[in-house]
Amino acid sequence: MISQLNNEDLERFKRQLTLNGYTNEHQTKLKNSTALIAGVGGVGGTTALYLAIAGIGRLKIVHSGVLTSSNLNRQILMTEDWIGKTRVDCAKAAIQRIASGVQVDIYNERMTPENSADFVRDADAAVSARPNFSERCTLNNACVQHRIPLIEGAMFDMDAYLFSIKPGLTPCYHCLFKDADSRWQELGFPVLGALSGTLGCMMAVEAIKVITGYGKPLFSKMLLFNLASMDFNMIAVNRDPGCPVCGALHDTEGGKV
Amino acid sequence: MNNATITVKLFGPLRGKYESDLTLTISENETIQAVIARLPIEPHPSYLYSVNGQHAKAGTQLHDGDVLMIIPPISGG
Repeated sequence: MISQLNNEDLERFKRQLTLNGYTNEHQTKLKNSTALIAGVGGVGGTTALYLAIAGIGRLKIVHSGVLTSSNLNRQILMTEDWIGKTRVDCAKAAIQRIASGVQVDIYNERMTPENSADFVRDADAAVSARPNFSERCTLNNACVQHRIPLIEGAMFDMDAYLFSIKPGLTPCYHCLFKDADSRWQELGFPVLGALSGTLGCMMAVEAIKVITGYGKPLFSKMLLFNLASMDFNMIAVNRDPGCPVCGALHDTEGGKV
Repeated sequence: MNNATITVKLFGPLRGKYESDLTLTISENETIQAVIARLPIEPHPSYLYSVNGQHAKAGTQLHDGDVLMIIPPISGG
């Protein structure tokens, strides 16, 4: 059953309801939607926060591990008093302090081939923000299998890229990156919080567009930027017809959007 | 054979010591793969390439004025 906007919603979101082309219908879709957030670090935590304050109905947050002091330069949902405790609990508390109407379901787990289908199945869009290739590939595979749109974004140092995946229509993650880079260090990449936050905000915008139909998502396009030089580039990206993950899907089998 | 001047944009960990884009003089029609061999970076099958904003393959030939981007997978989240 669709939950309509009430008077409190209309007041709370009236400044975004006056965005050019953004209507009550878009906001209603957002209110009735679920986003899966895979990773609630510097990138995914920011995405979760901005989806929450934009009025998404439900967040499913998947992230394993406890907070350390070295997380605090970028993980905007975390607080000093939470060091040593599980991050998903702190993320839920922080989000609900700011946006109490959002349902936040938390899972102190990694994305695995065994659990990923359960995480993605009832989501309207997924956000990929885990700091390793195996979980990103696992999430991509599950999203393709269940036709769930996926917002993919990653950063290193002052560089970042993002693109949106609609299975059957756009390249999936495996179409673009065939193999993991074994040199990658999950806990060793350099990161400035303002950069991971910028990327996280952009991913929130992409998720809102994909979920509501507002604007033009980065379908078959990749945005790359370097904030040290403020150099922004957009490139076109193509599906791989021989992709073992999505190659058998056709346009008509695209995701929920 | 004619020479061609191209711009190379390295991304993420490949950027290394280079703070800005590289300008290279190569042979006209030289492939991306051959250009990588000129650079102090390790070839890797997972790299994504674009030429003038369009998705390209390692065997794509390059021409004067082209802008080549070499994009490795990154995973900071």
